[in-house]
Amino acid sequence: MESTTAMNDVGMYLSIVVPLFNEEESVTLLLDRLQEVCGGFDFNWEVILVDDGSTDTTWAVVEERKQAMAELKAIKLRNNCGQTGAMVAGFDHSRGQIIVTLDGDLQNDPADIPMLLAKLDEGFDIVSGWRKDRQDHWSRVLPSRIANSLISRTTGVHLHDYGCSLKAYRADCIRNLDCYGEMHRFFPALASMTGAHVTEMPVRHHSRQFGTSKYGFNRIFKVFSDIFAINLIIRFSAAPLKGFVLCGLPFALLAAALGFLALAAWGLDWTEGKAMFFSVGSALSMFGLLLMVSLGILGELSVALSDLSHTRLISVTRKKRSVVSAQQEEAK
Amino acid sequence: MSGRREYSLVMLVEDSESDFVPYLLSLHEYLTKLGLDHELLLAINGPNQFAQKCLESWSTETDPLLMVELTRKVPSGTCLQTVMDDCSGETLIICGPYRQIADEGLKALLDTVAEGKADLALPWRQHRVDAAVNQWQSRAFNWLVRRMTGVEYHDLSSTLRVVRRAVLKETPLYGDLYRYLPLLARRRGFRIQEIPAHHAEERGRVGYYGLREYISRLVDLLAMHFAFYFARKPLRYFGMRGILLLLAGLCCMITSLLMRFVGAVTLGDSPLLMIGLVLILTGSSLWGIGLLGEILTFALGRKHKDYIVEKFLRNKEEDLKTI
Repeated sequence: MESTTAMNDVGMYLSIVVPLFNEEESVTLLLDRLQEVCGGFDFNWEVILVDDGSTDTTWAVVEERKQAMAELKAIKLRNNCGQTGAMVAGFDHSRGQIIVTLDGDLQNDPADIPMLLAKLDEGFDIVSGWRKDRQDHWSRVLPSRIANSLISRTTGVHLHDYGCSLKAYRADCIRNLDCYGEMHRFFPALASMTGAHVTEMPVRHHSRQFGTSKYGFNRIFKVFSDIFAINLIIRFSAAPLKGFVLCGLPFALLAAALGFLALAAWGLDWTEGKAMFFSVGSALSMFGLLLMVSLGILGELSVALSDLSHTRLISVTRKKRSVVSAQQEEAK
Repeated sequence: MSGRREYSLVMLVEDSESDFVPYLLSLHEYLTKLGLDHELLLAINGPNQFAQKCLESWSTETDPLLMVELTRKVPSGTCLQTVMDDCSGETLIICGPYRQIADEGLKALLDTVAEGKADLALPWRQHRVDAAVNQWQSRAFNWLVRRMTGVEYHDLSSTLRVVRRAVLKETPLYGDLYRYLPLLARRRGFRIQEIPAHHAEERGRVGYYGLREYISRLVDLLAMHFAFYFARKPLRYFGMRGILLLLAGLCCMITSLLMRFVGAVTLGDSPLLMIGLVLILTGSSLWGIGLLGEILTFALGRKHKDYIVEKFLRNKEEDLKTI
């Protein structure tokens, strides 16, 4: 297995990470477009194609193209680990100070990359693309809008299009996140945990020219489940007991209310059935509360046993920022 | 044993009351006949007097044999991991204490791995000679595995596997999961091939196993199902089931309240409110367990990379820089 080489190379400014899965028809066109756009840059750049276990000739096309393109790096993954895993592999093997991600199916336009870079220069850490004029069927656009609205409201990072792969990141903000599963949609929200400044800008969107979409309708349910998970992680990963106590509060209220009614039933000689009903109901609610608190304690234990890196993210980055700003003030 | 060998023949012996030496000897002779450089390793899982007795006739001078006897019985996956350090072969031939497939079948497995067509080859026993009841159980088990993992293998019940060392090194194998090694290895991106082979003999138990064995297999299967679909997303597994129960509980409660206001049944006389409360409690518990799973994955498992790099194309000067 290759060792990862993630590092900021002082000479390398831009790394473009593109995950590929069965994109044999698009990959040549994509590289042509990238060369066209990035060929004029006056800084060093590299493209990192990550073949996520394609079963077609994608890798053969990439290998052939590598002969003629010095800026190209390519990683072939042994397993199909999904878009997040492929992107993380790209991040780990990139050397640029800025990382841009985009889809390999030509739906994102590489011509938007200079705009994203210019926006980063305004002082942002992450610039997320927004497919304002989206060329997809409504059955994909509608659930996506609902999901974006939910993610924005719950995470507090307001973006119109979390699903757009075209994004630009300062490498330090994204490399240390250690993402897994299907977190790629939530990179900006997760990075905001570290104090990253996130913004968005409209980008072009083309309809898919080749192949088939890798997304199905069942993905919507998965995304909603992920939204809850990411919220928990963002809000409570450093103190899970608080999250679980919050979940247990309705049980506490119910236990108190039913307990009060049970006392009243015994005291005021209501029917025996009612008294029994309220007592058992109160006991069950109490059990629910205890269960939630116990789960929270297990959560605390797991955090205590971990390397605590996720709880340190916020302070570390902020500390780093304050050093930078102090240096800037000194320079002034 | 010194130096690296091409093949290690690892025989796993547990609870065996039959003489495994003739099979071990015949395999040794067959591999020698094929001209394969190999070593013999006998893994005796737990104290086994009978195994010691069988080996009395073995001549270690002419046929070197390394025997590893574990001081207590452990699950087969753990046993294999334990003896792995004592193997030097690049390819491992792992088998049970008796012959299951004909030598030609073994040759096909060896060729498949040697030619690079697969990293792990396992036999699919054809024209089975074991009891019909065993065949039906095996079919039912393999069908269930296919349904729960979505991976199409037909004969995970056989113990014989020809596997590259790298597979065992990179595939986490623990507990009783040796049976599922092909599935676990496939998840790690290794190439697996199931090769049809003539079923030669079966000396395993005939008839039904104990209840404990069935429960144990079902639990392992559940673990595999979870590992295949939800290992990195526990909330998807628990959360969806939790939400369904929560909704069912809410429906029960609303119905009982409606019945109360219509005047048909008083709250205390209807079991619906209590059933609703229990369903809500169960649903919330599942949801909470899913959340805890997410915390565990994030806090303890996120450093573990999802991806495995097979090839990396880059410029030569970068290699030099990295060195």
